[in-house]
Amino acid sequence: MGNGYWQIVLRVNLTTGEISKEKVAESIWKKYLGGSGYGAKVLYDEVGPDVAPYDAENRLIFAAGPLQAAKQTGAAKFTVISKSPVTGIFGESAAGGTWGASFKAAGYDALIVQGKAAKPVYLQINDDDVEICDASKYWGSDAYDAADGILGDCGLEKASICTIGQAGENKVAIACIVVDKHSFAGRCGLGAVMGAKNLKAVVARGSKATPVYDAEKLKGLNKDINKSIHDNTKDWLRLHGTPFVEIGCDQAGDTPTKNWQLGGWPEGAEKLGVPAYTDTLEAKPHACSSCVVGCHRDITVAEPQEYAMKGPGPEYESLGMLGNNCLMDDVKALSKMNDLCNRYGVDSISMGSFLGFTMDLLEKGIIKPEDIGGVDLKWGDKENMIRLIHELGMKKPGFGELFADGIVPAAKKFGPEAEELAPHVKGLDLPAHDPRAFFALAVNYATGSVGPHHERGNPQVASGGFLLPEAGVSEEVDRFKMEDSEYVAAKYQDYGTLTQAICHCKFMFFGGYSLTNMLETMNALTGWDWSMEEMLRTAERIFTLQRMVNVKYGIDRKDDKLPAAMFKASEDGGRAGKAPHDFEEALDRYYDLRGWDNTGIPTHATVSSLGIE
Amino acid sequence: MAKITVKLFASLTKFKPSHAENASFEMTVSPGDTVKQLILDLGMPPEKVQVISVNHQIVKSDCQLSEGDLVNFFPTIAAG
Ligand code: SF4
Repeated sequence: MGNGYWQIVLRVNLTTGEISKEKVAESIWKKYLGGSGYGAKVLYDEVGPDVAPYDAENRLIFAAGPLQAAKQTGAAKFTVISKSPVTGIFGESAAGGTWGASFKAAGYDALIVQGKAAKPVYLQINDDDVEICDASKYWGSDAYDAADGILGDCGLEKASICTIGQAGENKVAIACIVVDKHSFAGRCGLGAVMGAKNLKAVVARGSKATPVYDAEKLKGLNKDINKSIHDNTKDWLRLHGTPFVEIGCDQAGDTPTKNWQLGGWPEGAEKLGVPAYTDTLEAKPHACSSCVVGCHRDITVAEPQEYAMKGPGPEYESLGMLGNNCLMDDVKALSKMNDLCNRYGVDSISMGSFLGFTMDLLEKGIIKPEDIGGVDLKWGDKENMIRLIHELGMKKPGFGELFADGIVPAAKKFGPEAEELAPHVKGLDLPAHDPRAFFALAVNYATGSVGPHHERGNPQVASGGFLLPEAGVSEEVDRFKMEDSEYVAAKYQDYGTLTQAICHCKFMFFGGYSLTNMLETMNALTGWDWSMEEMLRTAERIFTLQRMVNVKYGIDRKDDKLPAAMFKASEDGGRAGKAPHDFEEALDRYYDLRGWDNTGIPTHATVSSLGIE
Repeated sequence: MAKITVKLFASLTKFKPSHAENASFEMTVSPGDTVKQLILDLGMPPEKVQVISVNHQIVKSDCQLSEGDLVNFFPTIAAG
């Protein structure tokens, strides 16, 4: 009888070429679960404050979780963790596709990559056989071409692949990891860490079934869960994907508009959202492995020629950041931009943030076109947006070099006025949900382990009726209320922490997947016979460990802040006249709830009561 | 009279009529009734209804209902 884990971690040292398989005891998995929980443990134990993100000594961890043993809808996820080149602190991002399931089926729970290869390589994991292979001929290829070429060379049937594009090779800090040419570990610059290690790709193929505690029980749970999630999402998330939410988010004042200056842009949202998106782009659902939702979009743009593309369509986040935030309403041009981001391998959220920020600085006269290589970038200027995406992807002089290390170093070069307008927390660009539209996002963005994140805590959905009754959020939340916003933020962070650690897709929540479903699944997988309290305590433990990683890297209360714009109400739109207030008091209450002191550092009592070693 | 099926999502599920066992239920409306009328009949504040689809096509609230229609109501979902 198994427990959903192999209890084996694969470690590859790219400097020495050494490959080892390490036994990791069940007690560690029980405390940290896997995914971003296990990754935090590795960073805490092995990566000190003196190690820079691009140093050979930084670790890059690809971690599955117990859910990859479950074959449940949403179980396609895996998490990549490292010290982030964007923020210099704990960085993680999750992706889907089939890589997580293939890697787990090869007989491992996690892969730790350390060192730096002398020349470009890729890693091939085929069950027990693990090889470091020459990738020289693919260095310089985009992420899609590299995936096709390397998989062709491997000749492995049903293999899955993580690749980087030129941005990762060039150490563009916002470089992402591209999975099976369709899913993306987008945030925190993990593709640049791969590039710094000269690692172009990681191929995984596995043929083993991970033993679980109660396979029959799990089968029954999966049947019920898959059915109800399909029923609850087929009419929106499957039919239209995340673009379904574009118009509603704009109306609520939730979507960043004109570098976070305006309260809405209905005429633009209408052109970017559904049904225009689905009709114009001939969008069809595309699912990660095991998933009954299929939220991703496969799209086709046949004309005009300059925007022609076929492949993954932009998600809501890309629509918000490259569209509303830049006042760019051409959904075909946006699809091309998104495709370029995917191929170069850059995070489209940060890309949209850089472009909107640059447009704003130019309009206000804080910078001149000469400062970005002679490009006079105006709001909605799609041709120049495309040009600058090419320039950043290839880290060309001008815009490419200026933004290569992220928004903070770029803003610093332009002076204090620019720094004030840069929309980031801890160096990571804000994603496309506005704390002025949902106040609980203020505390969430300020205290998130990776910086501001829309899914590592998505308290904004509590106002739409997606609740966590088992964790004490049993009623719809007033979106403009600061009182208790710290509680809501903390509970949705804990839920996000669990999904990232067990490696489950957070979108299952929108199909009705509850904490009770998660607990029953975990108990059937592991046999741990957990109570709800024990599971929620585990979330707190992992979140606190991630905070301790960040404290080790110099983070405390001084860093838990928001850009000034988040406290300025707009005159128009769905959040007119509203902005978070009494923020420091909310932060005090949040620290108290978490058992951290008033400088934002977990107390000894908290650390010891959570059993963190 | 026209028989239709209504499905309420997320925070709108609390507006299901007392006869309904869950958020998807059948109703009878007068032919030619609009979605707007249906929203009022169900007691939903119109500003809480963000997206309406009839037979999977996104429509405005002046859409007229006919026999066999499947009507979905969604609130603002700030997901994704
Ligand atoms: S809901 Fe979307 S992201 Fe999540 S597993 Fe399914 S297809 Fe992948």
